[in-house]
Formats: sequence, C-alpha cells, structure tokens
Amino acid sequence: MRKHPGDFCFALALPCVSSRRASRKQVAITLPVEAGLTARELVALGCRAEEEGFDYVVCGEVAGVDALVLLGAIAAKTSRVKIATGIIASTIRTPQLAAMGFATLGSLAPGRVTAGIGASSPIIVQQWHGLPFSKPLTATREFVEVFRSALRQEKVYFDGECVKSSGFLLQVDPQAPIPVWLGAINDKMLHLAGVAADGVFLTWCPPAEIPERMAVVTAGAVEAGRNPDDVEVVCSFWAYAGPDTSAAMETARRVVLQYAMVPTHQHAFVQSFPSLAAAAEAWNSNDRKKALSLLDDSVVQTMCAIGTAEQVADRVSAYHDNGVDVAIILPIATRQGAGDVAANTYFSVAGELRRRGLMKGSSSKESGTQWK
Amino acid sequence: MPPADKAIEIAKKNEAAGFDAVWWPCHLMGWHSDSVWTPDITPLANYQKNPHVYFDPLVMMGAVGSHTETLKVGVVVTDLIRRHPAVAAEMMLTVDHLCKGRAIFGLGSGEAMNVTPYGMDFSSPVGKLAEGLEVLRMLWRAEGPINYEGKFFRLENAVLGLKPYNDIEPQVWTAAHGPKMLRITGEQADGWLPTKLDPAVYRQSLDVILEAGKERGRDMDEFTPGILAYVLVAPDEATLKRLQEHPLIRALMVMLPPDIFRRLGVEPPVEGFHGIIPAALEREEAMRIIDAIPPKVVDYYCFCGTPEQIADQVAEYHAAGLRHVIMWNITAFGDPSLAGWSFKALEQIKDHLRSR
Repeated sequence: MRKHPGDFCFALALPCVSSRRASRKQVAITLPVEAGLTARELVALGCRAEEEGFDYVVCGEVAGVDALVLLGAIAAKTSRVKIATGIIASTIRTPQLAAMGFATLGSLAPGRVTAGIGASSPIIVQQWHGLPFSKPLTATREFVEVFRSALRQEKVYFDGECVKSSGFLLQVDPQAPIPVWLGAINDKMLHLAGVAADGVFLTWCPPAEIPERMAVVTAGAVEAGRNPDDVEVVCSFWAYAGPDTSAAMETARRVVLQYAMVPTHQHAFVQSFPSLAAAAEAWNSNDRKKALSLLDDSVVQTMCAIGTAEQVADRVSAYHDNGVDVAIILPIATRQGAGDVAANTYFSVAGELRRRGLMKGSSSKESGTQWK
Repeated sequence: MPPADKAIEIAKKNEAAGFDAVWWPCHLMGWHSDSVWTPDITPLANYQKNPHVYFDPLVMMGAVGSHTETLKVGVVVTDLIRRHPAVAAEMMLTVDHLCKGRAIFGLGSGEAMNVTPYGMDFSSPVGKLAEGLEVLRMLWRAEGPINYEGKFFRLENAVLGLKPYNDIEPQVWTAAHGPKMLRITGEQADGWLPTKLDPAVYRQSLDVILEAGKERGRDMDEFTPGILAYVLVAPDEATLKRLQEHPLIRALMVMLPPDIFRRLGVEPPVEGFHGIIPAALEREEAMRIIDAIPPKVVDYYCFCGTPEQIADQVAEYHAAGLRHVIMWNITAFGDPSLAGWSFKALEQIKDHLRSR
C-alpha cells in the first residue's frame, strides 16, 4: 500500500465524538478592570477562575488596564484556561500591532488565545485618541483581514481604505490559530461577524433576543458561503450574586443607563427599555436623575442578572439554551476596589454551575474522579 | 457521527493537508459505559445522547472514497463474526470498486461487546478469523461455484461473480497481538495493525509475522507494518497531566491485557476486556474500573505529549519497522475544547516526522 517501500504513511482515525459542537456551551468571566483593582489582584482572580473551572478568562479595556499585558500575566500563571480579549478596540491599534500582541500571547499559551475585537465608540476613538471613526465597518473588515493574514505569518501587502501595509511580516509564531471574536451590536456589524469572524461577541442582549441577533449573523455567514454553525456565539452579561442586591441594582441602573446613552450601543436597548427615548432626552438635557428614574427595575433585571448564585446560574443556562456557546459573566462591582464582590459573584456561581454538572473545577468535591 | 456528509468534507480537508489515509472504527457499541456518559463527567454528554454513535465504516469508506482522489480509506477494525465472510467479501469488493482500489480492510478477531449483546456467538474468535480469511480470499478468486467444509463456515456451490477492482485484491490488514494472530497475519494479511506495544516487542512481533509469511512462500516486501496509535496531545505538561487523569481517557485503557497492567505494577481492573459490556455497566462498577486505572497506564498505552514529543515517540517505532501510523485522537474525550487544536497538532506531528 506504499508508493515506495520506504514511505512512511500518516493516517487519521476519524473522530467518534462530535467534539466541535460539544466544545460549545462554555462559561467565562470578564475581569473587573474598571473596579480599581491592582493588576496583581486581577491576575489572582484569573488564576482562581482557572481552578474553579471557567473556560475563559476575558479582559476588556477602556482607559485603564491594558488587556494584552494583563492577559499575558495570566497566561504565564495558568495552564488550561483560555484567555480572550473582550472587547478591545480595533480602531486604536493597527492590525499589525495587534497581531504582534496576540502572537506573543499565543507563543506564551499555545492554543489558548482568542482575539475579541470591536470598533469601539466615537468617544474613545475620536475624542480620547484623536483618531478617525468615520468608517467603523470598513475599518473593522479590513482589520480582520490584515490581522489574520499577519498571524498566518504572510508578508502583508494591503491597500485598503483604512488599513495599509507594505511588507509587514510577523516575526513571532502564534503557535496555533487565534480565533477572532467580533463585538457586534448593530445589524451591519452582526452581519460582518457572520461573514468574517470565528465568533460573534454579543453584549447587552437578553437571552430572549439572542435568536433575533443571530439571524442577522447567520445571514452574513450564508452569504459568505460559510456554515453558520462555524460562528461561535459569545455573549457577555453583567451579573451580581451576593447579599447586597439593592446596592447592585443601583450600580447596575447607572451602568445600564450609561451604556444605553452611547449612540453606537443604543440599538441594543430598544426592545427591553420602553422609555429609552424619554430617558435619552432627559440625559441629553443633563437631567441624569430623571433619566435614571425612567429606567425601571425590570429593565435592569432583564439586562443584568442580579440576585443569588442560583439566579445567575439560571441566566447562564438561559443563554446556553438560547444558542449561546460561551456565556460570559461580567461582575457588577458595588464599590471601588471591590475584588471580593466580583470574586463572590464568580465563584459562588461557579459552585452552583458545578453542582448542576455544567462546569468542572478543582474545588468540585462531587466528582471523586481526580487521581491523587 | 452525523451529519454523514461532514465526513466527506473532513476527509477532503485531510487529503489536502497531506494525510495518506483516513480510517473508521467499527462498533455497534462504544467503549464507554452509558452510566458515566453524564454531564458531571463530560460536557460531551450535553450534545451526544450516548457514547455509542457510529456509522457503518464500510458505507462511509465507499462514500468518502468516491469523493476523494488519492486518500486511502480504511476500517480499523471489523471482524468476520458480525459480517459473514461471504457478505464481507462482497461488501469489501464493492467498497474497493467505489474507491478505485484505495480501500484497506482492517480485520480482527472481534470484541465481545459488539457480538454477544446482539445474540451472536463469540466462541473461538481467532479460529473464525483464520477460517473466514480463507473463505474471503477463496470467494475473491473463485471462477465458479466453490465448496468449503470448515469448522465454522460451510460453503456449497457458493459463487461470487464480482471480481476485485483492476483484478488486484483489496488490502486486508489484521489487528494482531498474540502468537496465533501474528502467524495468521504473516500467512494471510497485507498489513498489521496492533495497538501500542514496546518498540522492541513491536520489532519482535513483526519478525514473527515476516517469518510466517516467508514460510508460506509470500513476498513480504509489500507487507505494511502499521499501528493504531492512541494520541493524547497537549500543549504543555500540566494540560497533559489533566487529560491523563480524565475518567473517559482512563476508561479506554481497560482494553489492555491483564499482564500489561501487572507489568506496570497495577492490579488489572478486570480479567480481560471481553468480559465487559459497557452498556451493561452500572455506574458504581464503571467508576471502580476507572479508579483502578492510574494515569501511568494512559501514559504507557497512548502516545502522549506535545506534538514534538509524540513525533519522537512515533519515530522510535519507525525505526522498529512501522510504516503506517493511524493516529486516533482521543484528546477530546479528556477536554472537548481542545478538539480543534488537537487535530491541528496531529498535522504538526505528521509534518515533524515528514521533515526528518
């Protein structure tokens, strides 16, 4: 059966488990980078998240902690947990620079790295960084193309509207493919995620609205000739599990309102926030109090999961049941420096998820199968 | 595993990636007990209702073989208890015609779990294979009605009008470990498919095979020494350790013979795997078996490590005569989230070895 007697043949036995589909339904945490914690504290939280059985440690960024630096530290101190940005702005760094950062992470933690990127907002890009935000969709499409090409260690020649390169060649081997999650709220970006990304990163999306947003993603995938199942569905939601639910409600109310008032995000709130227009009017005339009063508890509860660990775990399951593959818990910090509050949310929910057989971790006593 | 057409897509991808063959296992019943196929042990249980989901490998070989160009397609392994030699003879020729001569049929003496629960007889499995192989070849070569009076099979005025593709008989490889099976392999098979043995034992067994073949007057230059390699691939030591500890990985090791367990200083969990019917195992017994299998057994029986480390291990077998390695990637049983990465890693193993 050999072409020549000396040939060495290589063969594969085809998988007998549906591993790709089964690799879905995961649970992640986003680190509370805006809660005033030190990087050391954040790294410790990431390490514990691995022990507790979370699938991903996710880190976003605004104007504080640098996500790639922090994830690098966590990658170096963990061995299993996957690490992802969620979300960092593609519009304030070139895809070449991003490829350098993510390839470095890949080289540190082969096969564990995912790049969650998004177009960000005019405030961050234009006002804070003084960079253009005129064509977020084109910029993102071009970013993804060049980022992928660079990570394949191809010499990049690209002459786009927003991205250009002539001869960039990445000098560090990312070791394994680095999937791209695309942060998407509006229809055009959701569509682009279906066309070009490995995963769509949803946010401010109650479980019931997942199928509707995914219909847009699916349309994009089908148009691009892809199998829509190949697009991973990732959704992040704000959560609090603990005793002080009223403080959490008040914090969450402010957070919801703040995000609902960001023009690029408003679309996400239309369905669940009936008095959105009135609140926006009050907000724009600087009447924050009135705007807040227009935001009912029920809206906050729909957007965020606030209550007991059981209730937050129920929300995780609700996301999974509605088609989400990776549900990400973003903790509500009731005060600055509240690492303990975030930890309590993460790990009480982790305990509950383990009890339900939805997650495995070393603190799990019930399995009895760990080899000592 | 459904959807069936996905297999064609996967096979094409692997053909493009430079693999020489793809193989399917042949099981009515899988190795894992239903009682441990639960979400607290594996997330796979959330997506796959039971651990026994298999397509018929010969049908898949025909489908994939007719959609590929150079890739060989194989079954690792079926037996002549569940498939009467005459039925097998016709199916194998049909598949080989569809594949235009690219099929490889792995045959073994069978496993009780695929036989006895279905009311078939598992006595004298090795004798049945030896005799069945004779019948198979006889039918492929028959130019008219044939008669055969065996201990297990009787043929009277039996015909098989269909002849091999291009008049070249399909490749038949055998899964052989014991002395009787090694002799049968040398005398009647075109290739050998053991699971992992020590490289020195691999060489010795191969010599037994080649000797038996030569005694029969066969030209053994065309014989292919293969292996069914269980591969547990991990990016680093800590991940590997975790995979080796996983209950579903350890459970697979039950098929090792008791004397190997003893040699590793481990009391065998059962006296021979033929006594085990996974679907009938109660949870308590399944967990007892798993708990009796330490990770070092996994380390012994599987090719374990990073892609580089595994390439080094396979290279030792190449030096001992191995010429066709079938990598069965069991990584996903230990951690489904590593599935995608681990298949990429198999490509790296292949590329490492090719470049040597």
